[in-house]
Amino acid sequence: MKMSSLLLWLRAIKARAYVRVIGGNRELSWVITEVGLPVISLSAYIFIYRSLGAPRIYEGLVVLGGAMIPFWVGVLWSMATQFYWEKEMGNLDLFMASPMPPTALLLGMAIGGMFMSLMRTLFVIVVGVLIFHVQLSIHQPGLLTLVFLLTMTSLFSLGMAASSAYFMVGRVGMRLNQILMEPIYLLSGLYFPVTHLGRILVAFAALIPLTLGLDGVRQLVLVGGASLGFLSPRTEALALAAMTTVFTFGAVRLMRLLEQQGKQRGTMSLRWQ
Amino acid sequence: MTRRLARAIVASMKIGWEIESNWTNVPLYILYEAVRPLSLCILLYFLYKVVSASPGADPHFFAIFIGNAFFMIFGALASGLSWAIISDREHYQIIRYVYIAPAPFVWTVIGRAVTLLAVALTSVLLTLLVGRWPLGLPISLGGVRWGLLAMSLPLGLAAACGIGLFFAGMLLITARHSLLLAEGVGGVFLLLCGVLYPTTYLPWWLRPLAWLNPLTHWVEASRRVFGVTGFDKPLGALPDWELLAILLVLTVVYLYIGWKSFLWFEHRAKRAGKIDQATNY
Repeated sequence: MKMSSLLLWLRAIKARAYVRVIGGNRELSWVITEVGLPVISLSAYIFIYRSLGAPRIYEGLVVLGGAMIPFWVGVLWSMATQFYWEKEMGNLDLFMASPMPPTALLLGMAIGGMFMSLMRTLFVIVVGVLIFHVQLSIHQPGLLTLVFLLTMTSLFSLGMAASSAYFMVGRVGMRLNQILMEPIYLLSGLYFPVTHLGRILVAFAALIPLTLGLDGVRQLVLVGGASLGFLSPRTEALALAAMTTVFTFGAVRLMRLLEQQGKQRGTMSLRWQ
Repeated sequence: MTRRLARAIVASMKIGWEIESNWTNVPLYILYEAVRPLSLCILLYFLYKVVSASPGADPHFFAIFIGNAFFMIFGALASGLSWAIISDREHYQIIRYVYIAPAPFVWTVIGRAVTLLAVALTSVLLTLLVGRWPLGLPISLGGVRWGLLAMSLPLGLAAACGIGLFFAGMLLITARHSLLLAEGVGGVFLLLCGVLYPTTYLPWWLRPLAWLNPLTHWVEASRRVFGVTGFDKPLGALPDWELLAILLVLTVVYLYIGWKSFLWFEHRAKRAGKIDQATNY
């Protein structure tokens, strides 16, 4: 890669990430609403466990599950669907006509999206600790950081792959996105230990990065969390690394393929499809 | 006048149905709409496994399942109506054409609500079927108290419409919070209405909000329809007639507030020039 191309690539990443890092956190009322409403939903699940008389560790499990929601929501709505919004607003054509490589655009979206989600996640954890008195104890911080980062990279590379679909489809893709919320909450064991799903379902659920990442984080952060785990955090880190590699290469290839297809079929700039 | 309104509602229902469903065929669309509520009900099943190896045989879980199944109607309506405003204004940018049509705007919104309610009721039916067979819950046609269902369901739907109208109106003057309101309102009411746990588990200062909410009483009545009693002690102490009377009064109040608020928000939106303002967000 030439120096000028690399610079262009980095500038495009910075420009796209800037919108999310600065723009996404500029309006205080927006941030409050965005972090406040998910915390309210999460509280409902904590009250269920309290009403059932479940051990306190399950409340921690809900808080960590809730803390991962902004990332999944970010992948679905700020990554996968982003090209849909851009297409509807007429920006996608402009992006494609600009000199920047589309992969840099995706990477910028991913980096900015991760930052935006991280802010919301930290707030959920603070609420969990201060209001619900969840006990967290970080042991093996190195492994925890690795599992968390690999979860992020695999999740957002999955989002990058999904976003390419909008070169071809419109509302159908959007609808698919909508039904990937609650079913993924279910399969990734967001509010309960994923082992409750049973062997067959959990094997299927393990193909979703959120499942393994959340399970690993819970084992490394919750007091007694290892007893609720599915695989060891090291195994989960390896699986997440493999997913990151596959999804990233898949995303780049898919992007090239669908971009070409979208141009040929004229669906790239087709609004209200 | 009545005939014109009826025509407006029917036309709005048809438009709503086309906008929601014409991207696929009808059976697939109905299944699509049921996936989200079904997932949440099954999620509760696995969550309940923390305290019971066989949630299907536990009356407490049955109460949660039924409450959640019926509450989903409100969730679908609140988010559906909000999305209708957002998509008409922002995505398709047709709100000004809908607005200048002869029928009052509020009636076209109500038409959309009726379509959403019909779809949501189908989802409830599918959820109950899943509860009956894969999950093994004691749901049977013979065990349903049809009289109570016939009285409580219309009241619950009307109350849900009233609250839905309030938030749909609010979206007419809101830009950046639109999506969050659309998805978040259901969560707030889920917390408050004693759907997943008795209202007594709420902090004391939130309990009056729960008891003054028609959805709380509707969920309790829906449980009684399937023979579930005693889930929520304070509400369980009320006889059926008293529960229905409270539900009726609260429904009328919420419907009135929802209606008036919508008209007020609409007026504000017109005054501020926001009725068709696309924010590109």
